[in-house]
Amino acid sequence: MFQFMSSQLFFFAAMLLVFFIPGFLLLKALRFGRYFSLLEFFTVSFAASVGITDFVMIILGKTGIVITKISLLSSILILSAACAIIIFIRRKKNPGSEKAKDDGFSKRSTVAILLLIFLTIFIKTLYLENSIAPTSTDLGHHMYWSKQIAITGELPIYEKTNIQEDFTISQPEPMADFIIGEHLLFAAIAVLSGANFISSFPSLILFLIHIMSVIAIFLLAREAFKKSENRDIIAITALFFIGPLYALASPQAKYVSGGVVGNIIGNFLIPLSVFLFIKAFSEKKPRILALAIFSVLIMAYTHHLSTFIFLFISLFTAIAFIALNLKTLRQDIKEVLRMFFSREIIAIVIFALISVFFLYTPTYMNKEAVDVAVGTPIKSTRTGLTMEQLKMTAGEARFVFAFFGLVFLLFTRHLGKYNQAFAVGWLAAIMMMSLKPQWLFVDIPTNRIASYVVFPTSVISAFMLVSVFHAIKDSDKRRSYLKNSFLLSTFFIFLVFLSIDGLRDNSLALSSDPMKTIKKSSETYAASRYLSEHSSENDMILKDHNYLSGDSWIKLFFMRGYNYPLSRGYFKRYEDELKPREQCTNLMISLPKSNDAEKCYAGTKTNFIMINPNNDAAQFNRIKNFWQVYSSDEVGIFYKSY
Amino acid sequence: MNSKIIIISTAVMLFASFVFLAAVEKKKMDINNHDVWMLYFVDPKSDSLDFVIENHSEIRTFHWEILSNKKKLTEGDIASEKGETKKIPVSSENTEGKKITITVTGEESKKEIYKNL
Repeated sequence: MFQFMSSQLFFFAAMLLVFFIPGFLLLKALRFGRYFSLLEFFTVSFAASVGITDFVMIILGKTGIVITKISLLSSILILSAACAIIIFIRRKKNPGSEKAKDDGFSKRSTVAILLLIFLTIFIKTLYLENSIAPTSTDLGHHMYWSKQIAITGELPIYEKTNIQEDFTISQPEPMADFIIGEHLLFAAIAVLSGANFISSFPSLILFLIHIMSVIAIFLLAREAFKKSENRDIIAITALFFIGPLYALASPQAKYVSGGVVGNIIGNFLIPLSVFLFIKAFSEKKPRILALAIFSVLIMAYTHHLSTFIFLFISLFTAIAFIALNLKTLRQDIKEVLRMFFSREIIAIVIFALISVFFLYTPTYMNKEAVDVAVGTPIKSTRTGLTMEQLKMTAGEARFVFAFFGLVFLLFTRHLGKYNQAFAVGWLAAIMMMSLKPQWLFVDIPTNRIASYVVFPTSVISAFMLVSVFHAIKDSDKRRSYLKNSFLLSTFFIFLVFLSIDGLRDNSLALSSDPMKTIKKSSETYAASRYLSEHSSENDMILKDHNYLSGDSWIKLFFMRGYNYPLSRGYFKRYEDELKPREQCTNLMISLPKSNDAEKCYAGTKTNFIMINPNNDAAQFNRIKNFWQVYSSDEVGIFYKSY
Repeated sequence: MNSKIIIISTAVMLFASFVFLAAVEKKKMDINNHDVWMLYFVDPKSDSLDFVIENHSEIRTFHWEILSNKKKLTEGDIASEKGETKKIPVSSENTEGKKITITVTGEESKKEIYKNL
């Protein structure tokens, strides 16, 4: 009990140091406090903390300083203390000069917001109760790199080995699948708190970032419809649509338990960046624009897909802005250029260029990685969704409202030109990328792009629903050929329709039985521990991904390379004609007696096999030089005695 | 002021949720809660036949047998509490060229490991 409490204490202290303190103090020291309400400032400083932690660790790694508890803690504390001193001196000189903007929430709004946040956290906690155990494949892969940073104290070199045509294992080759920002935060928490990677802590970090993304959506909706008299109602409705409703399906709580690290962070940084851009342009504040660019820079260091999508959002926003503001375009361009040529923007752009070209270039910034993502899609999974599929991804009811909301937005006046352009551009970009990727030369699995649609649909469907409600209220003042009671009941039917759809979506996600997976995974981890204690770097292990649970976490027990142990992947992958791949990992388990398998064993020097005995033991039992050395219900280990 | 209430309340709710989830995870990942037991060789690579029964189940007594080419050589019973690891030494004499199988039975469940020496 004491051990649990102390580990929790260290974990929360580390979270404060990584996610809250440095950003809060730095932004205060740079006098950003006066531009935002407290809730806005809190959310923006969370993102700034993420960026600061990333850059502190990158600078430590690049200057050859080992990332340890002492070096990381002292770096964060020195930076924070310096900021605190600046704030202190300034406050002494000009007391009360930096008051936060008034948030303007009424008592009723505050109660509604709190209730919705409570429901959001409650529903997601209920779901995570069954899936908090570290078993998901993606999270296992990511945590390998985070653990590597934590144990070596160095920035990771993203490379992996491959099985070559002559059946031998290649030298490590660079891989562009991972980006450093996905791993630094977890490494920082582990280094500072001593938390075990194979525990709930990675999922809890993702949960925290996810809740911050829900708050960011709320703030964005409030900013986007700032000029509407229903600003708070739209924002609260958006919070309702993104919080308690559709709370579990992808890319929400399921992405938290699934360990989709980059998306979770991207889903926070995209709405926050849009929020900052709208605020910067509409208030004509270059300093906020600089912060928006910093937010995009953090995104670029964290997730390529989110950055790629954000580029398209910017492009579509620019198109929407031009189309909606033709009359004042010349003047608007002058205003925007004036902001871009301010010293704040020049400073942040120079910082970004130095970071990308001299400090640390994100792994995906190379020709091969760009070629993979850009081009005419051929694979059926990349050629776009149908409208029906997109509707299901966004949530049927929410999508219907957002679709009409998008059209309605185009004809709505007095929302503010930047606000309107961003709202239209955000949804239009993701819809177009999901429905017709070939028109934009986007060659990325479409369902991954489509998962981003839930955020703009929440905001725009909220706008649409509240506009309907507003029209009903206004019909009192005007002559209406429809009875008020009829319109009101129509509104409530819409609301019930949305709520039932959103809650049904939640209940579908809650119905799975997780205990079996956890039992199987804990057996996998026990077997991995045994094997890590009884093997050396000279041994090669092959495990199965099809029938073992939690198998992507096995590599964390060895830390002998990203592709160690070798893995038999999903069977369909071995039959992919568009992307031929090595067959050894399949043959060595499925047909261990075949000639090719023998060559694979000899070439890769594989001598341990880890499989599920209920599916794959029989073929090994028949071969004399395979010994079964470990047996549990769900895991069997065979040793090949040469 | 209202922002402050929202931030503090959210922080308290998240704190409660995190502590709860961490406690749940700790309990669920404890292998002693999954009613499993394992059988393995102390040294998987050598000719040693010493083996281990790692018990995380409700079973308290295990019966083991050692077979040489399916012929029983010796057998025994061993008591084991939940969470205990019991090592059983086995002589490797006169085992060359034979398949030595260790079979362990605990109540309804049975597991075996073997080496072809």
